[in-house]
Amino acid sequence: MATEKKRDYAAEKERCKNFLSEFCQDDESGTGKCFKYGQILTKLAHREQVELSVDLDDLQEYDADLSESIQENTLRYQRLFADVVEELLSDYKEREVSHKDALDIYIEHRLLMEQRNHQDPSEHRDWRNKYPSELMRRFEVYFRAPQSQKALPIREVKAANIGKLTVVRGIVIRATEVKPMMSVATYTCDRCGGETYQPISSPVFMPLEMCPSEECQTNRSGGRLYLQNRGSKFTKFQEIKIQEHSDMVPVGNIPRSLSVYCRGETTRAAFPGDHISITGVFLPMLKVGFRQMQQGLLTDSYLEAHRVVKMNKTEDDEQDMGDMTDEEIERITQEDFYDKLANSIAPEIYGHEDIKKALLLLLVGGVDRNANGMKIRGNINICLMGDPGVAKSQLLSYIDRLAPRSQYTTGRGSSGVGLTAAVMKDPVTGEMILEGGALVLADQGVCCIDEFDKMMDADRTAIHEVMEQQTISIAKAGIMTSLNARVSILAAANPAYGRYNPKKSIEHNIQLPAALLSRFDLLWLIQDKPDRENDLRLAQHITYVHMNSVHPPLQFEPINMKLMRRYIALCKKKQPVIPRDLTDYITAAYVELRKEARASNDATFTSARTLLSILRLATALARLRLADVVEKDDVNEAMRMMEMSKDTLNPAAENLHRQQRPTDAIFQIIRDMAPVEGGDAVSSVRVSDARQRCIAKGYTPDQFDEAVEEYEALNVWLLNTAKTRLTFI
Amino acid sequence: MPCVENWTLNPLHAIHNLFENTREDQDWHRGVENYFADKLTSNLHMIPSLNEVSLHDIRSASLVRFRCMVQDTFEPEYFLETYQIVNKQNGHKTFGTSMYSDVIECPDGFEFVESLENKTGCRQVLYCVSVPAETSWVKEKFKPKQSACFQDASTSKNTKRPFEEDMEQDESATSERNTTKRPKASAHSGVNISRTPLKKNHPLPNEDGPVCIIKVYDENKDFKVNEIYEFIGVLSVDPALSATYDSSTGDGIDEDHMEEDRAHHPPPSLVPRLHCISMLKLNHINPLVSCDSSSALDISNMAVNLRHDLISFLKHATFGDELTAEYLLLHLAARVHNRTGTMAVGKLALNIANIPPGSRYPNLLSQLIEQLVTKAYYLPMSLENMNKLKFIPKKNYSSNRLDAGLLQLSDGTHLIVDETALKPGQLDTNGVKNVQALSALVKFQKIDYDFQFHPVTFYHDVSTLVLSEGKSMLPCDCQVCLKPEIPIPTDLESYFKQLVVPLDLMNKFRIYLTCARLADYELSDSMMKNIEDDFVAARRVDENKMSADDLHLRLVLARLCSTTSGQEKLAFDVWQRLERLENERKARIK
Repeated sequence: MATEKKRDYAAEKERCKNFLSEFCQDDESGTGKCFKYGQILTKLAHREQVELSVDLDDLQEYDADLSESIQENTLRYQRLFADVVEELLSDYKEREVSHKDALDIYIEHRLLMEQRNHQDPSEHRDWRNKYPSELMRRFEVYFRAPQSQKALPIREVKAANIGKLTVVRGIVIRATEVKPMMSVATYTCDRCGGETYQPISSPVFMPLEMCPSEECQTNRSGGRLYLQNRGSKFTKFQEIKIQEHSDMVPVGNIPRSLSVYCRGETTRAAFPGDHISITGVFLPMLKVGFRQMQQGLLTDSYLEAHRVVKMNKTEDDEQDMGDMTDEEIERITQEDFYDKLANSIAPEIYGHEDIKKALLLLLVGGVDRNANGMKIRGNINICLMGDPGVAKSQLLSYIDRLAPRSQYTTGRGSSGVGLTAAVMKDPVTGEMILEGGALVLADQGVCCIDEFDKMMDADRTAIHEVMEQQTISIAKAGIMTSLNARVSILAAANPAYGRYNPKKSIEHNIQLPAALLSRFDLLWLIQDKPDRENDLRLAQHITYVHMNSVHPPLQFEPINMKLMRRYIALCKKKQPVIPRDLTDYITAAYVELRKEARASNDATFTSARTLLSILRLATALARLRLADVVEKDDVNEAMRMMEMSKDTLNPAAENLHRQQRPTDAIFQIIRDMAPVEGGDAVSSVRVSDARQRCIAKGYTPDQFDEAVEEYEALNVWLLNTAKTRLTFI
Repeated sequence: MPCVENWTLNPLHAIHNLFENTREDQDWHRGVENYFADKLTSNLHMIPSLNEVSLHDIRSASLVRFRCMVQDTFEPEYFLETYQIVNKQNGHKTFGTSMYSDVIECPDGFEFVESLENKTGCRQVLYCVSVPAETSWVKEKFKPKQSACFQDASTSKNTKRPFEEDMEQDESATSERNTTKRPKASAHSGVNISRTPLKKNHPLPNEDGPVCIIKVYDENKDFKVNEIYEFIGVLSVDPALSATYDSSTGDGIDEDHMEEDRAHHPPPSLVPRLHCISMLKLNHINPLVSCDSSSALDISNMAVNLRHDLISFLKHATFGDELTAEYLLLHLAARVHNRTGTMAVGKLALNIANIPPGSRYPNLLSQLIEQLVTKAYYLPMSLENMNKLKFIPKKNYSSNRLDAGLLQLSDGTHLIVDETALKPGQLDTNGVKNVQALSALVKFQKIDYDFQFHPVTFYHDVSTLVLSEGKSMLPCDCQVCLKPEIPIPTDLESYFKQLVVPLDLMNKFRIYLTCARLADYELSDSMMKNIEDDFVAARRVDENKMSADDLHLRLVLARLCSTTSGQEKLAFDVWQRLERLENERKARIK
């Protein structure tokens, strides 16, 4: 049986050899063939490369059977490949390698000595017989799992995976220092001077004590062996521990973790906190020595790393899904895709279509401008305000779940440090280290801040910078730096006095300074207003939830989160531009807005920031259409959103008798005085008449002058140079 | 040694026999499970339970039960399912299995060999603690029945006799098995306790019930944290297991692993191992109600009377305030039925305001509730408690286990928060976190466990009753102001002492509450229509009168009103009565 096995592997070895020397791909240029592994072998021979990574996809192509056996019994084939490479290397050597280190010289000396001792040419000896091949080996063989092999969550790695090539994903929670690990121990004997080698494969080994050489054995001299550090071979060794991603853990379960042993080239590939995917062999390791029996032949299990790939959370998601197929895109981009996408956000929350649309735009984001070194953010910031219990937090937590990268905090719960960054002293090394807070961690993502109004003043200052400059500057404990915080902020705030009071300005209602509020592109006020139809639907919804223990079926099929995420990722790749002919339209619209804002006693601010907001929203809308150019409709929709958000803030503008400003009242009086029968003709009023009328109505002359000036500035009327006549335009 | 109690006292023998006979079969351990399942159906009471019998009264490798909560799941363990040992003299090979045991018995003259036929298996390892906040009457109820049976099982033996003597006596008997016994357990364990204090990881402070590491051989069974199970399996307290714990240096293992090893391999004298053969998931732990949910849940015929009796009983505790008593009853019968989105439907966090300040009333009330329910915990919300106690379970990466926090409670636990104990003062960071966790629990019935790199959300079903002077700072669903009908007696303690009902009636209350919690319920379409119309009408009259939350609350109350009256469907008169109750409650708040 044993011989059969041996022969079997000899044949396998031949197959490996053939693969390495014969496998070729078409050259990239299309001319001729390229021996992929031949080239690597040449590099190995010249010590320009250490790692030989065998791609099982290539092997699949060449010899599917072999590839399968490798996946089943990886460790064995790793050894086979190493042997094969060893044999092949001399063929690929084109020139002498000058690169020498201590071990090289050591080996060289041994070879020379060998030759000197055994001058007899008839006695042919191969140095490989005496020296273990591991000692001479200067390369490492790794396998790379085929692309088709899915990465397993850690909890799916079970006894069935033992000895097989496995791909797992996880987050690194601990990484030891890279330590040298002895792979071959070299001893010298204090009697005969002979050298003994001991290949070591386990983390623990029993050092040899007695010299096994012929001389010592026959003489019974009892030569003692001493370990030679310089003659021994060490490899780099690092143990890391990975834990499941939080999204892979079923509800109510504790995340699992797994030990990974990295050797040689795979060390230092990951640091704690990295999201990685590891290809490796899942192996048990029997406990050795007297504990073996005690522990019921328990084994430690670990993953012997073959390939470590770092990934971040978003990439990882994409990799999982690949690019969207045309069919899928088609499915989303139907007629009413904008409404459908918006409604798929938090489908369990009824209504609030416009807010959902705004949130959708927040996820997609506008286009960043970085012209001439001046950075204009593309991220959209939204603030939701409203009476308690109007599902603000639910919307926030839904966005937190939906966004590929996000952080959820509350204004109260996060101190300045928790939001921005902290300088901490490492307890072990005593070094100062920067630790990112929520805003830094959410870089390139969304930061949801609940209870925004309850934030401490000190923290708000940090938010100012983040919301416009998208960076966080740190000057603490001698560390001065600026961290990126390219985040969209989604904030939720409660009115200061329990309920929103429409008679007061926003600053009063939400106790936040105007400077901060103006940095939000959209401010939504969600109010709980009675309305028969809505109420009925709400009641139906709630009773349904209570009766059937599920959410009522929706009129439409909501797009699932995964698909949404992919679509949004696709949208983000687009960089739409605003065509020149639209700029006039936008400026005109902006001027109009400004005018309106001035004219009415607006609760919000219309500033240059508003214009930028419109642009951001418009580009986000264009992205959503997967278009490269912003259209007029996008701008209109963006303006409509602004308008809608403003409307929620001035809720009862029409039925509430608002206190008129004196200037507005004066304007009203003067307009009423103007003759209307003239039709299209220009109408004008004499200043002295108007003044008299106004004073009669109880306004001071100062107020009158102010009104005249103000409305002139707005281009409503013209005052002639003699200041005697007002002409309406 | 063929005797009756063979399979309880020496299950490994039976397992070994089964293994010998059916080794070729891949799923031979199914046979073991079936074998024991057969035996267990009628003889469950014969098996001693770790909850009641102290560890030194139970023989190692005998069959035991354990009623517990899964506190943490460790990494799965890989072990040699089948192995070969070879006789050193004659080279004769025999097979063995290390299933259902921690320690391999390798007789003298035999040697373990690496062989292709060795098979590696995988078992799940769970760290279980006795059910947190289990009330004393539940423990009592389980006990007398149990210990009597246990004495029956061990017949003539004096249970008071220490374990060692037992062992010695048994030595002769066990030697038949041709094994070498390991040194005695008790002698060994004494040393451990004195040397290193071991954290048993109970969620609640001051709790010291038994804990156990359970090993489950079903690879696919999915265990969630905080679920309650009764496990039946082979007890393993071999002192060899604590080798890791004892060795101060740890052979060849560096510092990092030491702590983890210690946490995962505590001395078996403190944390015994149980190799699970059979298990049962419990949805309640009321000893008076049978475990399988199909039977004994029908309380409808006596529900109305019991409801009335219970309310009049609670009324004494609320000084004659019937409204508060009614809400308290509804609260006691509430549980989370389902979750949609972020909402937990069915919970009723109750806030009783207007509690006489500075009195022992909250404490006494909670003792009263403890009499009624199976799991209850009284938490004085004092500044010291909030700042010092650990509420949120936290993953400790150096020992690789979940350090329990106070809020790691199993579903169906009643948490009574005494807010009157809170005095003005400074909450530190820990305190703020604790208050937040408590609020999240009250509001969403979920807690974000601290996994350092990221929080992991766990869903709970812990009914919270908050006793406060004014409105509670916790976001309760429903606030009731206590309005005593009789003057509050000065000596509260003796007043509460008078509140005794016959044990028989008390037991009925207990059954009633457990059943009401689990009862089924539905809403008819016509009733739904009524409710919807009511809501719309109420909103039209006054927009502030009824919000969506109010409707949620009212539907929850309607459900509870029906189930506590033994009705499966919501009746219109209940709905109307509820309206009155709610109006009265709201009137009191104003």
